[in-house]
Amino acid sequence: MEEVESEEKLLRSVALQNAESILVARQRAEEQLSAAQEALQARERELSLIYSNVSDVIFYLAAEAGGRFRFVSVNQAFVAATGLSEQQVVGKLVDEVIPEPSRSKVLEHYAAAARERRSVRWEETTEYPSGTKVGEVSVTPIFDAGGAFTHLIGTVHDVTERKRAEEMRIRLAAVVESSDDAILSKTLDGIIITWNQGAARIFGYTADEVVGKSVTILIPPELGNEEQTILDRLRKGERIEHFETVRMRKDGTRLNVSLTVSPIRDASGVITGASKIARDITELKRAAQERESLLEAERAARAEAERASLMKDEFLATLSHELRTPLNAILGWAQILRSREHEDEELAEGLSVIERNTKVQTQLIEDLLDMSRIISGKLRLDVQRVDVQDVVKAAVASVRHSADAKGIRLQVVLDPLAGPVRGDSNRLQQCFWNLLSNAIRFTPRGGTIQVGLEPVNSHIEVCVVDSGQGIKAEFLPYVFERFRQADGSTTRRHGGLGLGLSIVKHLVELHGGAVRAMSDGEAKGATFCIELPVMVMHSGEPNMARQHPRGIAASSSVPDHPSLEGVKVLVVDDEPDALNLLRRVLEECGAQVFGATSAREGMSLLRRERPDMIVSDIGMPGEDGYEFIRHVRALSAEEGGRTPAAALTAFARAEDRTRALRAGYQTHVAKPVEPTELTAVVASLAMKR
Amino acid sequence: MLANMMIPTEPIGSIPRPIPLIQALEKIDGTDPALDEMYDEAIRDTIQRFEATGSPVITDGEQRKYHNFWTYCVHGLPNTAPDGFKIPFSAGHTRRMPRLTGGPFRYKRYADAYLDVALRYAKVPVKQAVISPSALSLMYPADEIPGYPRDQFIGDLLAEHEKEIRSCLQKGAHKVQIDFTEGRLAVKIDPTGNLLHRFIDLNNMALSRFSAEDRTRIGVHTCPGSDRDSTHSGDVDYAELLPSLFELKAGNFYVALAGEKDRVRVLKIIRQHIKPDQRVFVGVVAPIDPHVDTAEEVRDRVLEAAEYVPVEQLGTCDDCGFSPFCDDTTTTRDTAFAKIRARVMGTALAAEMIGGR
Repeated sequence: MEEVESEEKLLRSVALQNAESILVARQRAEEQLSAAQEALQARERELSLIYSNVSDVIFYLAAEAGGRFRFVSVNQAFVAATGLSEQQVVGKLVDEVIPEPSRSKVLEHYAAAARERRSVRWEETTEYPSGTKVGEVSVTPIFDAGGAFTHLIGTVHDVTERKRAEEMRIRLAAVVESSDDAILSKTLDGIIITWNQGAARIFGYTADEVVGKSVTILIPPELGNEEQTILDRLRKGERIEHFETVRMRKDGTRLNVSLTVSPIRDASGVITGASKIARDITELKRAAQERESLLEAERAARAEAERASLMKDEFLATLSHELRTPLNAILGWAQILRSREHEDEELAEGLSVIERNTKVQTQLIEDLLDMSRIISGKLRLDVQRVDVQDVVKAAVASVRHSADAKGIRLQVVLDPLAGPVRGDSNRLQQCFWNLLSNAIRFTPRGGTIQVGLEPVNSHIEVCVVDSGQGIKAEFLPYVFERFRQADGSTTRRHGGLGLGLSIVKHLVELHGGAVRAMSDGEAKGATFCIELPVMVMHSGEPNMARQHPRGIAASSSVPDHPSLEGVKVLVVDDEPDALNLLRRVLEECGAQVFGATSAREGMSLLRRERPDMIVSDIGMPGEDGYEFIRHVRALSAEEGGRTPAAALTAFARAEDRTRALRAGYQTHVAKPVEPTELTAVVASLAMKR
Repeated sequence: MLANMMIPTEPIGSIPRPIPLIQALEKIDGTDPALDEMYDEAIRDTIQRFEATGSPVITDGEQRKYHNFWTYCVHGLPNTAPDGFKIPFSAGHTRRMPRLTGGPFRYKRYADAYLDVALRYAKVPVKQAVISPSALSLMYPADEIPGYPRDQFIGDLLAEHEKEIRSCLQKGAHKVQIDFTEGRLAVKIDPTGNLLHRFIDLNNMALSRFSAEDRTRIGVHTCPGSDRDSTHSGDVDYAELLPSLFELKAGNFYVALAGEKDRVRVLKIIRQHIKPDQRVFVGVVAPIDPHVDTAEEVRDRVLEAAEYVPVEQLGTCDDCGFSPFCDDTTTTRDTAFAKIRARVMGTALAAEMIGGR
């Protein structure tokens, strides 16, 4: 019994001690509860404030039988959005507040939330008094402790602005994407964040290849730290506009770009990156350069045209002078010789002057015609096998007298091994004569001229080296231009039209050769060299039958005045002076000449006298030389229809020659003609008979 | 029909163990795996017979709660000694509590482990009884344990209790019943009521940790103790206990009534103190009474209770477990199930009568 009492006492002691601890624990729990309640109340106040002031619409619905819902509470945002007062809504059924067609839709969503026991979200476009709003609606079912569905809490988040912004963003993105310019954004460390189609097109990289990489992959290494400079300026908030620079495509090629770089700021204004617009201006640059080039070319062309015009004016002045100078001598001496009695010596001098000046004038006209042929592209070569040595000798022979007269020593060194070339011997002689004439003209009395001919590799080189006044270095590049003379002034010392070297250049080039001029400068002489390609050697004798009469004339083996003894020549020319001159020249060689001043008379004489050959002018009144020869050729051989004929005419162009030959003449000789040439032609044709 | 009757009826918990199991437990420790098969068979048989009574809610009969409803969760803890307090019963015997010898305090096992097994066999809802923290608080000795103050023990105790209930709820227990038989004992130990209030406080601190929804599935059982057909506090007046009992934050109360001398007085006290959100399950059969009640006797007790307690807040139960201590052989399993059948039938009869009014 005592033990039981002791046990009970001890139990009581323990129990009461525990009670103290429990009390302490309870007090602590109460304190915690109190604190929790305070926190809860504070939280409730906060929630209430939030509920009232949150911008999202919040509504609380009680679920009722029959799938109906009644408004328990709504917040201020609901009132503001719907324009309905709390009194108009709270306690009312959804059916009474929300009109169709929205009502059916929202009730379906409410039912789904209750049935599926989960939150349901959808987007709702609603017409409010304040305008059309797009809201993200969310309703969450609430269940009691027994799991029964009792309430719905719903929120509507106004996404009208977000939608608008999103649409704007999409529109802007589409604009950016469709832009021809490269548009990209990057961080302040130069890391690419966005990359549009334009950028892909311009630089060749896809977005996947560059996003996340440094923009320096677009910068050519030679531009060094340009990007760093750009980034430094961006960090300071600077905008870089229309900065023209060079960028590098994926394939390493460069392109000119115009950059506009703007800092990107976050909502607080802190610069976080940059947008960059790069416009490919490569084509613009090229077009600008092209335009500049064209302008430059146009300026140059205009300058050249002006220069050419000036040169032409100078040339005309020169031409006038050059034509008048010999005419003056001719006219003067002709008047002297006519006006008085004169000694034989004086007569001879006068005739010599007239002859010389006539030749000068002839050469002037010949040069002008050649230049005309060259310009019109109608210069034709009578190409044959030509022994250049002979041609050079003939040219030297033709100027030797002039050189001797001026006391100039003419040294000729011709390599006998130099082979033949293919060319027009007359034209080649014209070229060499031209160089030699120039050399004599520009070499002072007592000077020397060396003429050399030698084979060099696959061509033959003919050089004329003089000790004359030389050529200024600045004029040297232009010596072969027509109408160019180093001294273009009216007081120049040397005559000529300035066409010779230009003709030489064209003729040599027509032969497949080249001509070059060298000079160490003024008073240091000049060297002109003509290179002609060596003719490929063929077996067999050259076809002498094709040699041109003038070629024959140029040959040193042909006598100056062949004998025309016994040759009957019919000469037709409407100009009595010309007719008489021809008659005189031919008769001096022993020919029997029948002169006719018209085609009709010529035909009559042909039938009657049966000449060995015919020399006829072309330009005649009435029946011209072409018709005349056609009538002749229409005759039988017995009647003289096969009589060889030469056209002698001032129509000296290549096409005139061709026309003459086609009409029936065997040869064509341009006026004026040297007596020796005329006699040679007549002799040649007479032999054909 | 029974399952849908308007007056719910539930057992308290224990059913006498099969004799072979009791005999085996006398020889070897209750935790020995060699007993597993016998435990399982006892549980399976108990559930089968329980369901045969028509009881809409059953238990596993606490077949595996060795040695009793009070210490099952701490039995075998290394930081306990067997020389705790002795609880004296009116039959003259005592039951000794284990004594805590050191911290921290942790359960050795949790009742949801029993639920796992029962749910494997049961076809009807299963409730699970757990011991109250106030009962276990008596394990802490009079002298403070060095390094483990009493306050800390109270905190650990609450945490373990909460953990046990939460596990049972999560696993699907129809109800979790907190055995609070020490309520009347507290009044007996401390007639000032201070200890009872502290016990209420302690249990409320645990209950506060659950939601209102959880608390609808939590109940508190009080009785004067029941062991070998006797009580430890049957002499304590309910009037001293019940007003405080209904302060507990539980949704359900299981109050022994059948064994009370003046049931009407108790019912009046209940009517006076029960709260609207509480349901009281009154005991309509007394396990310590060897008489097997008839359904009609039970019916009459239910109808009597319905006179004082709103029927929508009324339920019936056994006064207590039929064998809270596993070695109690004073009541047979047959008697227990017969009395349970009477409770179920009698409650149904009463409900039918009430429904027909």
